[in-house]
Amino acid sequence: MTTPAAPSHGSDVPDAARAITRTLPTGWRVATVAVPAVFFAVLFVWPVGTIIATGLTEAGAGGDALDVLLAPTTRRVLWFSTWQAVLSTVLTLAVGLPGAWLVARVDVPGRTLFRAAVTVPFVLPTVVVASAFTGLLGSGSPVMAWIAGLFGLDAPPRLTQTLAAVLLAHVFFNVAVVVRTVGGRWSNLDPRLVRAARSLGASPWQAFRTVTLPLLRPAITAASAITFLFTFTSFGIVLILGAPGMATLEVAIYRATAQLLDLPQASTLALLQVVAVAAALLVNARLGRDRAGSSGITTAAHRGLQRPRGLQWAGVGATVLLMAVVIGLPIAVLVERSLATADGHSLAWYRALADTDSVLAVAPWEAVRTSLVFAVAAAAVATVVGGAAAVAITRRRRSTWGRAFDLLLMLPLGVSAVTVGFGFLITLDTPPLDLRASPILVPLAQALVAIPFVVRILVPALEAIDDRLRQAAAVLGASPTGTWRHVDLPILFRSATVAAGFAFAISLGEFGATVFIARATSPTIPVAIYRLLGQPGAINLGRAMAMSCILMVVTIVVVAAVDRLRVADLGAF
Amino acid sequence: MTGSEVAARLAVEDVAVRYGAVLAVDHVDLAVAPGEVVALLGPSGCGKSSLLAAIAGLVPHAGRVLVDGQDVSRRRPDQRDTGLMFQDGALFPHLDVGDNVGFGLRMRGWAPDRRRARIDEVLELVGLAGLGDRRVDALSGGQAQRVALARAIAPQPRLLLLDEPLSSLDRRLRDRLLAELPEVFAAVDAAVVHVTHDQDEALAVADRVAVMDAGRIVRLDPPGALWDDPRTAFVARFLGWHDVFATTRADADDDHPHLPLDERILATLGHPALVGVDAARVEVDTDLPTTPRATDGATSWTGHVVARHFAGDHVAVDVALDEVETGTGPIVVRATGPIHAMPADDDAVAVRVPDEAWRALAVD
Repeated sequence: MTTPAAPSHGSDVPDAARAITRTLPTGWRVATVAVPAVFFAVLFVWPVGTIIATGLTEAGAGGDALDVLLAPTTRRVLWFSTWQAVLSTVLTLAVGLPGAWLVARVDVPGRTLFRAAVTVPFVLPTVVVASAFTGLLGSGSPVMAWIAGLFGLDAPPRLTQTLAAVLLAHVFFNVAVVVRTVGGRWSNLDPRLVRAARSLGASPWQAFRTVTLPLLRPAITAASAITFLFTFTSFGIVLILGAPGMATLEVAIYRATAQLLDLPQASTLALLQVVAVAAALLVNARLGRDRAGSSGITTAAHRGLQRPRGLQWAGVGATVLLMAVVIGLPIAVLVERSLATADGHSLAWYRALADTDSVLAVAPWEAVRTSLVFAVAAAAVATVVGGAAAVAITRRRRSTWGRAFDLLLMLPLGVSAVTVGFGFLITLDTPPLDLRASPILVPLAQALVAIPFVVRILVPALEAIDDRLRQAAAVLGASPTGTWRHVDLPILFRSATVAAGFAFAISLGEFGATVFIARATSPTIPVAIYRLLGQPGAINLGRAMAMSCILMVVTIVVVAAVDRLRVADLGAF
Repeated sequence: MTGSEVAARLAVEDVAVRYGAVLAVDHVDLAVAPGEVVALLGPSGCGKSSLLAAIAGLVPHAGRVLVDGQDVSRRRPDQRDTGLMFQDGALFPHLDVGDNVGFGLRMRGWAPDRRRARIDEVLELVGLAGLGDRRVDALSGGQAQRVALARAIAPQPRLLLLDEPLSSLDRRLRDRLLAELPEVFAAVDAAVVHVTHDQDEALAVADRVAVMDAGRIVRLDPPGALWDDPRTAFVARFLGWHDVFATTRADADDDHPHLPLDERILATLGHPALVGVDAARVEVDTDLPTTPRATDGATSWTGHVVARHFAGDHVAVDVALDEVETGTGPIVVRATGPIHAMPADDDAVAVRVPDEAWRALAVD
């Protein structure tokens, strides 16, 4: 028997804490970093970097850019972007908070349906929202006719191309953010806290103000921040529903490019947009640090759903009515408008989609086909690239590199679709990479917009896989590749399907980037709707409404199917 | 290298595992024969699970792990021919019971029909015949652990490692599965290493028990020898010995009060710092003797019952001794026996410890 070595606590013992148990085959390890890195370098960093460089160069030369920055129009655009976003956020909160209360605290039949219905607007493409409000507020609207009758006006009022239309559409679009974020937290608040306050002598209002509201503040702040960001970068709604001179930064960038052909001005505005969004995200992150707490949060055992009593019924009725007007009415009128012709209601506008058209150069039905093909391609690209990125991020979660990578992938969300589309326009149509004529350009842009969502879905799913499952597989004889194939992939399959579904829905409705780069002869549905809305004539409006209805139904069906899968997913594991 | 080491199915030589600055396993040696069951027993954080992970190849380690004389230290977990059962099963949620059990067979390239036959055989062995099509989330806790066991043994591994296999179960289920384990172990003929923090489980299941403390194996013996003579205060306490005392005032502390003993006993034991006695050997009697101290091969005290603890079919009573000269607080001696034979609370009793029941215990 050999003499046992003297116990040494030295460095001869490898550090197990540093060992990575999730051994991924080397090829995969490289690919999960390389694929997203190259994708983002070519399709995001380069185009957006070029915009910023152009903007800075112009500014450095003391030329146009500085003029653009200091021009009264720029200040007006920045000011309008800001105050309309603040106003939209305040209005959205005013409408959304009663909805959050109803979803979180009141036990009435149809609560779940109500919650689902309130969520619908958020998943609708902006162009569909713009169409719905064009229908609701336009001269042909049955609602406007009813108001005219009510007040004895000679002609129905026309509210399209006004600030009111923009604000209403923003509220419609973002109410779901407030209801889901605030309602989610509200329903998790321990109801015994309010009961304790009441037993200590607080009136219902005092209990709300001193207990419920402070505990909800983090959620309200978060919902406000998201709504502000969405409305600050609003594009389709302001472009279509706003008055001709009305412009957020996004709209101004688009007009400078597409109508004025003033690229230096567009670059400077895009730079301004990037800076503004980065500032907003930074402020949000700073606020977010204080709201990480989960105090007052309870488990399912103490959910405080209560049957309404007395005056509360009035509250329930008012809330339902408010939501019906703000959310239900625009959708109902959109469907009605798509069926309304000079000779009563029929499917005439839908039938007319098959006819070749001078506005679009193709039959609108062609746009449906184009959109589906593009969206499938974009969803595939987004799922593969986003999936690889999610794996890379999960493996390096705690390192600075991992967090930087994570942040980089979130950037397209903040930098805005219009900037991405504009960046494509000025970089990818010249050698060495001339994709201008290639049909792949649109799906790539759409994939770029969808990737942050894919990553957000897949990273938690990957992190939820218990590392011991991989260990169990390894001990049972699975090689690193085998573990990946037989454990990670099958468990991820459902989440990947969910991510692909969302990517498909996002790509289908994508407007900001697509409108820059879609070729005139192959428009997508949103682009076709935008062009039809811009033309006079009942046939163009009617077909825009019909196309919007089709896009709405397809989007809702896809999102609902995916959402079901997601719920089942959570139930299974 | 000696012959016994060559015959060992599993040989662990000078294995060490480090987590940052903490040496979780501190240069451990261990040999396990085919068919032998060794329990790794110790408090949480003593390094027993880390040692198991090192044997399975799940963490990098220093030293060597040999299986049938072959050094597998540099091999990946999937190349070590090991079966590992986790505390809460770690069943694959996307596979049904049969596919979970057959996973190792599939990785080894077994044909489907051969696989099915083996799955049925193993499921029958663990008492789950016919449940192959069941979803794993539809299993009870006890069934899930049986599936985990079946999955680990299905490929007939040369090593079977069990990491706290029963600790997530309630007591009744644990006892039932514990009673069935020997049959399963016998059917696989592997070297079995069974990690647990429960001394009853270790003593019940193992051929030898390795007691771990602070990354080292401090004791390795068959259960009977271990229980009969724990040798150190740490092992005695961990096995559940209550009656551990200091022999001198100087060695006394809160855990080990000073119990003055006859020089005759101390001399036989070799004047140890600590002594202990198995509570089952302590006799209590409500018929008080006339003299508090007898010399008929035993030591007796008078006292009164201060607590009774029921433990299944027996009861433990704590007796505070009267008139024992000590500066270190009341001396409480525990005795166990059948429920009907033990005195009630506050009863005045005589406590009698036979001379041969005392064990010398080293301070650790």
